[in-house]
Amino acid sequence: MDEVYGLTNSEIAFLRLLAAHRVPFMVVGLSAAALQGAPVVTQDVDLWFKQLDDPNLKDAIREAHVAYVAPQIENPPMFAGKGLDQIDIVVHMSGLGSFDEEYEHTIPLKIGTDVIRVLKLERIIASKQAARREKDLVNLPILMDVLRTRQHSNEHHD
Amino acid sequence: MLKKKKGGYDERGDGGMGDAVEKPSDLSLDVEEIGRLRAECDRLMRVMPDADRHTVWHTLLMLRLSPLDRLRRSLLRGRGLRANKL
Repeated sequence: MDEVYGLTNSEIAFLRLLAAHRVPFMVVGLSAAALQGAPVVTQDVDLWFKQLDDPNLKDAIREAHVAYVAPQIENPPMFAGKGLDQIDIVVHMSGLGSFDEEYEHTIPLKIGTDVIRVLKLERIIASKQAARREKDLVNLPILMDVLRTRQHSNEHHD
Repeated sequence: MLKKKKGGYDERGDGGMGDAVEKPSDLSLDVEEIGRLRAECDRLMRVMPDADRHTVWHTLLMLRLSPLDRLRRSLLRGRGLRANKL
């Protein structure tokens, strides 16, 4: 059964399917920052895909019994499926390079036997500095302190 | 007062259920670990005195968890917050 508030089993299963199908994607935004230890609050898991028409992505979507909903004017593309309504599809990141360029700035995260890629904290900070939305400005000082804590801490971490 | 519980100490004596939407935490610290982490937090604050101690402390706690558990906690709070507003 899916967790009500935390990461849902459907989300974990979908991430693993994307990895198993070798779909080029990365976790970005505050969920990526949280994975790296940022004590931040977020509601969504943001995924940046290299190509939304990737045949491997279509296969993963089919296997997960998920529907891809194409973008419409102001509405971004999204997935429709049980427990996946809080996965946001990202097609552009403010202030960052291309997908391929930023892929070089990701770290691996193992989920079971699968590995997904997570955008490094430094690049998340760069994107939020460029976007400068109100919520970005609130979180920026926190993310910068987290980055420095990771750099200077003697505590073991990934 | 700290109450001893299996595997560690429960500072609030409520099994970690103090927050309405919080599930029992899998982050159990004993007194020695808290002391060690506090010393590490103090050391970091000397290295970066302009940092926010609250953020540094909670980052040290988060770094003790697996990455997925960190995300779970982040979403737990974010989604719980939203659900309570509905």
